Amino acid sequence: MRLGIPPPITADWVFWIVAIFILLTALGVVFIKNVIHAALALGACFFGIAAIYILLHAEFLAVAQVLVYVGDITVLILFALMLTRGIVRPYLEKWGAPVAAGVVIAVLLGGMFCRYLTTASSYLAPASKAAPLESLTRYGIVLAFSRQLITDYLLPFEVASGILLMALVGAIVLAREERPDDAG
Amino acid sequence: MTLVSCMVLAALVFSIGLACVIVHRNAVRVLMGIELMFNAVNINLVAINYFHPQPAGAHGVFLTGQLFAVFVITVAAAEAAVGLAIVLAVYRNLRTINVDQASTLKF
Repeated sequence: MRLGIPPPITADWVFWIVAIFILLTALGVVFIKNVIHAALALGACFFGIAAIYILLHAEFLAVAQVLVYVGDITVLILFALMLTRGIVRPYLEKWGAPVAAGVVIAVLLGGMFCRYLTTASSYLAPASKAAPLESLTRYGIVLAFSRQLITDYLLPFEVASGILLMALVGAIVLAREERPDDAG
Repeated sequence: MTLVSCMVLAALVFSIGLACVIVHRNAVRVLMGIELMFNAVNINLVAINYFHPQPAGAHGVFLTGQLFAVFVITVAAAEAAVGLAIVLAVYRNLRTINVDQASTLKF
């Protein structure tokens, strides 16, 4: 099953560079004035998260992330921004109390999360390195992933297809322009 | 790269997404914040899956976190499509997509 793929990059500095990139682009989503530029920063953030997935041995998810998030959701957001372009105000209404409250709530929540995670690190440490995911090749992980997806998780798989169909029909019905000469 | 550093990264991305949802009034930017929060949850799922000890023997691989993340991505795609369709419908009817001005349902 080994296909001669080089071993994955697990160096620490790669993770930190990608993490800083993700945080900077995510901050850009909130604080960039131009909405289109914020949407592009969101796409860059999705790319960084795909890199994190590769570092965590989730290659299928990394590809799905690029296809679905970068190729689909970012483009959808850009289309929605272009269709409503005329009235989009460039930025926040003003730096009033609601905006300050939002920033304060987010900072408090993030600080609380970080403090809890760093103090609870002894609980989060793995008990034993029994058989880490590195013991498989990348190909083996994708193989096991797809096998579990259509055996153990077949019912959620089918339900997901139903949800996508309903979302498709619902989006068309909602976004359809209703003209008076439409016969029902 | 440890589990804690991955989860701290996810927590920070989640907080930034929450700030985006609270701060902005443009409905599309609110949806962008929601997508950021989805991604933070996915990072957590994949990281916990990676650092979880694998079962011994040839009984297969522990991949529940990754499979869960796939379903999260599916639902996020459906949510984005329907959400943006709602934004367009609101824009057609009210000529605005600011969430504080679309207050017809407000009591």
